Amino acid sequence: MSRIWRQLWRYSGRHRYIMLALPAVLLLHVTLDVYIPYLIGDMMDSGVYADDAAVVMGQGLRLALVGAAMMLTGLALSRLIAVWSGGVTENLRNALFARVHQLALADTDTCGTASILTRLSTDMNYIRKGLGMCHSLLRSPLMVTITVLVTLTAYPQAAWIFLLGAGGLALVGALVVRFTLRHYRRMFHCYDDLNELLEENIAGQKTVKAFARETEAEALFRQRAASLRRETMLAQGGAMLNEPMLNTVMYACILLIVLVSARSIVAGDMQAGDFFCLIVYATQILYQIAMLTLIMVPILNAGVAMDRVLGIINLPSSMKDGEEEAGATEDASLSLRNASLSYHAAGHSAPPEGGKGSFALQGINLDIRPGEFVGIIGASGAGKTSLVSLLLRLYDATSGQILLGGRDLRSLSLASLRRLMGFVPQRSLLFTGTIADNLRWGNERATAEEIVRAAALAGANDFIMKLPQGYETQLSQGGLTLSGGQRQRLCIARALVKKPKILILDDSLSALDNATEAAVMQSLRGLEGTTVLLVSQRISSVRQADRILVLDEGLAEGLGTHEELLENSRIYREIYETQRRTMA
Amino acid sequence: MKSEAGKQAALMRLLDYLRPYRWQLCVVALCMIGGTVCATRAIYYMKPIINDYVTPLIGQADPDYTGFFDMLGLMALLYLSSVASSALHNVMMIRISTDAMYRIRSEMFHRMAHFPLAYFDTHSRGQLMSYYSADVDALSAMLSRGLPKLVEGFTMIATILVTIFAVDWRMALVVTSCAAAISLVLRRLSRNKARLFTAQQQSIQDLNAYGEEMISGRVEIKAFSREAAAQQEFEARSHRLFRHASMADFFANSLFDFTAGLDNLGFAAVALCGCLLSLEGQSDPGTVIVFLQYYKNLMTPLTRIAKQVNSIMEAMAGADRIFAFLDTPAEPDNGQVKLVSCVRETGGTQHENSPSYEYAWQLPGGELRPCRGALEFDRVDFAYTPGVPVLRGLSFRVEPGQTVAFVGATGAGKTTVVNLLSRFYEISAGSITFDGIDIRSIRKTDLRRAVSVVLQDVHLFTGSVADNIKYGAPAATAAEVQSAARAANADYFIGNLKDRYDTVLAHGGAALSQGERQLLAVARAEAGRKPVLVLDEATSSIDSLTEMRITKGLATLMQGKTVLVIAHRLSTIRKADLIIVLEQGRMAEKGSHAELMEKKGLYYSLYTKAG
Repeated sequence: MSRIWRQLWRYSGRHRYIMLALPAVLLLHVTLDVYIPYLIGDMMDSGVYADDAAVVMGQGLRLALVGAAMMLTGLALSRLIAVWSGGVTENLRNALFARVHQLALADTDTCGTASILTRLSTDMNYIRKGLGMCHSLLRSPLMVTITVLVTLTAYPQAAWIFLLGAGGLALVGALVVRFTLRHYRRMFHCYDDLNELLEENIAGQKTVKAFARETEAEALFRQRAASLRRETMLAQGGAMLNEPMLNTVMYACILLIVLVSARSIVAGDMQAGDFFCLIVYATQILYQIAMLTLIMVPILNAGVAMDRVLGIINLPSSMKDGEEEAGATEDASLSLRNASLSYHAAGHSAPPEGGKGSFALQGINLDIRPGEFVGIIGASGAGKTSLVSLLLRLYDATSGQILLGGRDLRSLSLASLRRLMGFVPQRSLLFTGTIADNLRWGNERATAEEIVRAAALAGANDFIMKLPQGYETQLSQGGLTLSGGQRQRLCIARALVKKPKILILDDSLSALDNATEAAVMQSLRGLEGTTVLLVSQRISSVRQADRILVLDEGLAEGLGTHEELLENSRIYREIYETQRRTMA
Repeated sequence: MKSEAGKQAALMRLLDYLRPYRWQLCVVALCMIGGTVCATRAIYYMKPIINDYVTPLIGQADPDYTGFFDMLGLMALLYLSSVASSALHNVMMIRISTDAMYRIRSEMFHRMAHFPLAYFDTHSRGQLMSYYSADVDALSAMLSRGLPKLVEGFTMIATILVTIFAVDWRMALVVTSCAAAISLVLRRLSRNKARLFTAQQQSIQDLNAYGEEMISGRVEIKAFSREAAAQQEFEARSHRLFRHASMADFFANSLFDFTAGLDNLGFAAVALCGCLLSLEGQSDPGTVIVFLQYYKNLMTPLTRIAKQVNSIMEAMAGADRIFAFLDTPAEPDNGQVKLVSCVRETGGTQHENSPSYEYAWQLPGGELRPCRGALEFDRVDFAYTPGVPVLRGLSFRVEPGQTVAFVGATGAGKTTVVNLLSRFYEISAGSITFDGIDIRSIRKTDLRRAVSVVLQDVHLFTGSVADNIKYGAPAATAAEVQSAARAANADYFIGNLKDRYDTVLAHGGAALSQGERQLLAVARAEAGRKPVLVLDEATSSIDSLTEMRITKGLATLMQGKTVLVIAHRLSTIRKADLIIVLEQGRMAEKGSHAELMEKKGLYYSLYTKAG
């Protein structure tokens, strides 16, 4: 419990003062609240029964003042709790988002994008709602304590009723919480399942329609929706029964108080005003305890959500950032020394390639000179994307070394390393914003000319200029309205805006027709002093390279020029033959 | 702000969904009202107890408690009834609301399946998903808590008013005027709530949309060192949400706390009046106590109602969105022609690979026309966005069994051709016919069932490998699944998987490489054995070694079918019966590979750059 409070203190940020101010204001508020029935009771006993109008008026005035004061404290409480719950949630959100990007890909792959997003949205909502109930969490015990003290001192003969009532409420509360919490957890699982199905269907609508699978998809959806219905019914039903059960306890207590008070009044130990106080205090106490159980569930849910969120925030990164800067005038030679990569070795999951064998790359040795054009070719699953990931330090090699300018990548800062490299990933993912915004991902401060130049090199300028709004055209949802080839060229342009020393293209020309591809390759070759690494499956793309690396099932099968490989590499020959047969 | 008429309409539609439960709802209402009346009435009995059955006994040596116990018993009975009916209606209400939500969600999914593809291009995934979750949840909360609390609240108020006016109209007036004054203040303050909630919802959507993009694109963010920029933008939106959410929360909370304060003032006022009247002999402590209790009970529902109005407003805003979603016009589908499979009559030539059944079009009236895969585009115009034409007067014809390749620069309209064939979008001029039947007269599902596709972006679904291959042909046997996989040459890597064909592909096959996914997609298309096959850049992510393995199988795959191929790989194009060269949405050249090479035109120049 105290761990949670410490975390809350930590993430309150500039709102920390509220964690101190709130209890203070609350104490005042509650004291005033307890004072009121006392004043009224006194008004009746010392005023009405004693036939003293002055007392009545006097207490009346005091009541008015207390009421007014309570309004102010009430407002203060509302403001404080709203700001605090919103503030803590904001800080948690920001910390989570930051951490996701700080962590290595290997760490976040285990979670999965969907799970991270749930934490960022749904869990945050539960946390905020739960935190918003915190002042009730404090108010109830405070109120109960003060009221109990007052009651026990004034009316000891009724003490046992309160104990009975409190005990009953505690029992009811515990039962309900246990039952509902279990079903709430199951309900969340059902939710996850439903959302996953929904996401697949929405993202893959074209495929669903193309195969006319609407009916089956619907049947599956109904199934999951029905499971959700069942668990929701149990969880919420349990929570709903809370109220009637609590009321039973309360009514029983009221009846007992009437009974006990009747005897006391007849015996002359109590007066009607006292009876009134007793009833009000009793209902007050019981109500507050009941409130506690009502808010328990949202608060516990918030606790669960907070654990999930902190689970990622506190996740240790498996990749340590280097200290040294890779300078702009750096010797940009790249070397792989006996580099191997196994996704399973470090407990990773969902590797980007294959699933067969445990090593995606084994014992790769390669020296790339600055300004060289190196091609990388191989069948799908051969390890090409893995090689690229190692060079960009998206994943760390399981064994062996990667060197930049003779220095181990692990000793270099990630930021400086990636500044030197332009990367065009296999999937062409663009982001919501204008084309110019997307291109500026390469360099925030690029001028319009630099952007146009990069686009022209990538062969994209022509089609951009044909669009009604040119570079200011808005792209939505990853640029779906553009064709595959257009997206690829934009991604190439994006990398070129960076003016990288090393340009890595992971099969990024696959959607381009031969003419466009040839033009783009020519521009890239023309870049002075830029090392170009091109991963491809087409001989036609890599044959002009200074050297070509042939990968086969994670191993380097051949290295050399096109002519050398035709002589020495079986795999290269095979690929060449199959592709050559297609030409005139 | 929605008009009153608009709000009414949404309410009416909601009531429609509740129609099947109307008898249960009557029982619920009765329980709610009955239970509340009992509990409220019970309080009244404190007055006679104090005044008539206790006070007179003060000082008596041997008091007679019979009357007292009778009254107490009556109170107990009323309380018991109240609790029983409360339990009953709570449980019933939950059942009703969860069932109603199930039906609404199912209906949403059902309608969504028929939305035109353009809808998904223009609406973000996150947005759509929040309709199903957040909005439906808010509706459910309204039904199971919001509305019942509202009904209970009103019942309580009614019962109390009746009781107190019957007892003492002057005190009743004091109580009522205090309560009325406070409610007015509440109403004034509540008006701002809707505005604040809308702002909050909007901030949530903005934040979630951005978060989704940035988390999905974390590789790109790392590669371009965009962490700082993304963080900055995220924190800006996060802060906006903080501001809107804390305003909305503060408002909702303060309404509650502020009215609690006013409530206490009212409490004090009632006590004062009661005591003053008692001093005059016009009232008595018993009455005052009861009135004070009733006053408290009057204020509780009033503040509770105020709180419930929150959730009801949220819910109705969500309901509006849900109904707007449901009202999205479905893809136009007025076709009458159906696709049926018939048993082939014996006799006539048969390919060794063709199944014993054949597909045919069933025209309205019952006439059967064999589905042979003859396609024709006649002066077709089309634009995705109005004003930016993609196809201009495109005309061509494909004979059954022909393999036609579409070539052209990117953006020339190749993928569009197959999009239109499957009627994913509607053409603006011209016509497309399939075996002489205008595709608009064919039922959409049937049209699409006649065409097997392998698309550029492969979508696999969570399920086993076999399930995915059977996706287009649910009735396929295990043997047919395996032979389809063999023909696509996907069986070699499936064999290496942990559970082979039963391996479950989680997260839509994220663990497979691009090439492997495409192989599965080809197998999926093959399992259908449909008369028309579309390969849209199908082998672009497959290395030529694997492609070579498929090519041999592809020859078998393509036999007896009309095949439309879009590719940059000249290996596949070269063997086509007919090559159609598209340029700027028009057909520029057509012919076989040899013919076009001779022409030394557009095709020739595209081709020779291949070297």
